[in-house]
Amino acid sequence: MNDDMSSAYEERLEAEVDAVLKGLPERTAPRTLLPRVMAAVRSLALPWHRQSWQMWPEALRAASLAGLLALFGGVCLAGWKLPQAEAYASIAGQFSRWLSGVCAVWNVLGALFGATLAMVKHLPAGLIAACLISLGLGYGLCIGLGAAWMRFAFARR
Amino acid sequence: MIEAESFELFVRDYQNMVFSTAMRLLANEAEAEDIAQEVFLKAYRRFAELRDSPTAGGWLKKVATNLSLNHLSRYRARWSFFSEMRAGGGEEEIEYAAPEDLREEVARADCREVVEEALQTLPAAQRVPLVLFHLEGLRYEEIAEKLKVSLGKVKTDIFRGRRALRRKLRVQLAEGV
Repeated sequence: MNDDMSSAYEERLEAEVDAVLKGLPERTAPRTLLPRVMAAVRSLALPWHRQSWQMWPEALRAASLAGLLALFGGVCLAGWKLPQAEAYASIAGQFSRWLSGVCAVWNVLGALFGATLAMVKHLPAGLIAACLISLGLGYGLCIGLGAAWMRFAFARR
Repeated sequence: MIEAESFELFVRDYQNMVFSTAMRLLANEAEAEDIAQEVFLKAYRRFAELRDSPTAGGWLKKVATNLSLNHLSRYRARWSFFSEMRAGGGEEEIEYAAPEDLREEVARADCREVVEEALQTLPAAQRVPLVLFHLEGLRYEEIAEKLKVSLGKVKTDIFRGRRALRRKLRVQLAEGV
C-alpha cells in the first residue's frame, strides 16, 4: 500500500517537474556574449606571433621552450665561468666603484639584520614558541572566519 | 558572405540555447558566459563542417554540457569548502498528497523566472542530474556515467531535486512572486 503510494507519488512528481522544466523557454544570452566571442574569433585570426603563447603552433612552442632553456643554461654557465675570466676582475672593479653607495646601504641593512637576529636569540624559547602559535592560530582564525562568511554570504537559500 | 559575418549569424542563432544549457547546469551567469564563449570558439574551429549541418545545434548542446560538467568537477570542487552550503539538507517529510498540480499553478502564474530561480537555488548535486535528466534527456545510467557516481545516487539526487524544486516553487508561488 505504502509502496504503491510512494511509486504513484514519484511518477506524478516526475511528470509535473518534467512538464514544468520542459516548458521553460531559452534564457536570453547576455549582450556581452556576442562581442566577446567575435573579439576572441578575431584574435584567433591574428598571425601566431601576435597571439598568446598557448595559441602558437606546437613546433614553435617547443622551439621557443628549447630556446628559453638554452638561454637559461647559458646564463647559468656564464655565471659560473665568468668569474674565472681575466677581464672579469677589471669589469667587476668598475662596477664596485659604481655600486659603492649601494654597498653602504647593504652593510647597514646587514648590521641591522644581525642585531635583530642577536636580539631574537636572547629571547626565551617559550616566548618565541608562543608567538609562533599565536600567528598560526590567527591564520587559522582568518581562514575559519573567511569560510564562515563565504558560507553565510553565498548560502543557497 | 565573409566567414566572420557568417559566424556571427551562427552565434546569434545559437547563443541563447548554448547559454541556457550552461546556465542551468552552472547556476552562475559569469561562468555560463565563459563556457558559452569556449563552446563557440570550438565551433569556430569546426565552422566549415558545422555551418550547414543540421546537427549543429545538437553538437553545440553536447559540447556546452560537457564543458559545464568539466568546469563543475575541476574548478568548483576546489572552492566547495568555502562556498557550498547544504541548503534544505536533511530528510524532509514526503508529501504524498499534493493539493494541486504544480503544472497548473506555474502555468496560471506564468512565472518562468520563478522556476529558473528555484532551479538555480538547488544544490549542484541535485540540480545537475535533474537538468541532465529533464532538459538534456539523458537516462539515469548515462548521467551516472557522466558524473562518475552510482546509479542509486543519481536516482536519489534526482528525486530529492524534484521534491526540493516543487517545494521551492510552492513557497514562491504562495508568496505571490
